[in-house]
Amino acid sequence: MKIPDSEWLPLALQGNEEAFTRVVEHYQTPVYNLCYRMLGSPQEAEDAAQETFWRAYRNLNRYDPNRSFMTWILSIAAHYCIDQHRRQRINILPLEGYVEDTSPDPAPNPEAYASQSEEAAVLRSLLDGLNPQDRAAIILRYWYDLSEMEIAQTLNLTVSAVKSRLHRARITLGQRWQAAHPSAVPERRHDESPAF
Amino acid sequence: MNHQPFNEWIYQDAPLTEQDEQELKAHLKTCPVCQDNDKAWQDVNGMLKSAPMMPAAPGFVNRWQASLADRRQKELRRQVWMGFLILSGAFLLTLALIILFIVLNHSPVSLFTQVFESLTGAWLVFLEAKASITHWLQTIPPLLIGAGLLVFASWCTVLVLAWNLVFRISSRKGIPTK
Repeated sequence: MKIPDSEWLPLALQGNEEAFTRVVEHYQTPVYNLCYRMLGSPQEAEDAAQETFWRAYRNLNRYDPNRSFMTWILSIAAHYCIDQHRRQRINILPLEGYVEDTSPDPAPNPEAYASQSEEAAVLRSLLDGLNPQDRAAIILRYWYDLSEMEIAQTLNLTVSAVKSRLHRARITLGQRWQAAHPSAVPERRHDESPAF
Repeated sequence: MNHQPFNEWIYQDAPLTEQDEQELKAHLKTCPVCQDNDKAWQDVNGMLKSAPMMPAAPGFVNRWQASLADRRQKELRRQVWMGFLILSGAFLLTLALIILFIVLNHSPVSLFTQVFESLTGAWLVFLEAKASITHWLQTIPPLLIGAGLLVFASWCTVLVLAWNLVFRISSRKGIPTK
């Protein structure tokens, strides 16, 4: 596959619709994944990803070619999803409920599917416990391997804000994991203080 | 027991120095709270690192192309309406400014007198014009008047319909910019 940044992007920037369609084809998975991890629902993620590409298409003249197109479009997607969170106040799935939420499935490998599906539900449930900007920072760090500097650029934050958001998000994720797996945590002694 | 800085180190992204790592290991052996935190974070970290990219449902690009046409149409329609609203706003603003200018530069009494005089004058002109037209019409055969009225009414209808059609097409398709 040709790299759109060098092949299609310049043409898309000149208003070539066919070239932009190629760009959509190339970036659909990263954009959709970000929307899905942010919003937690396939339908909302689809709508958000489509809206992201539309916003990018309309604002192509504002794109700075010296910047990575990937971080630019992820930035649009992340901001849109953060806005969606604020507007809709998406229902937070209780962590304890994730096992019941997994959909039953089908062959050919129901056990593997069930395991993947359960893991995806656990992950979604953990991410649901984060505020939208912390969630976006974690997603950009772990799924896109962006540096703290790149995350800061993508979310319009300072690097130190990104660091503290990531740190706070990790602590929250750890706590939620412990809350969902109480059997793994032995009883704290009466004289023991919490670590947080 | 003091859990700092060990609890910070557990969640730290950057690698620890060898000495810090040794200290953390030693602390974890003696502190069940930090041990649990470390275990929980290792589990979550592993899950995050192994989670795959979620692909969009097949046909995403086709849906994009379909939605692009639709969105573009909506955008153009929005532009037409915006243009219409801007023009209407500009007209109303101009009208308001003219009225404000008149009100500020004339006293209410003189304004009322002028308006009254203008209306009376207009009414007199109308009466004169009516008398002239009536006199003129009496010299024209009635059939010709009927035909003239019919042509005038038809022409007005055609103009109104054409305006309506152009407005509907513009609001549906928008005005091409290229």
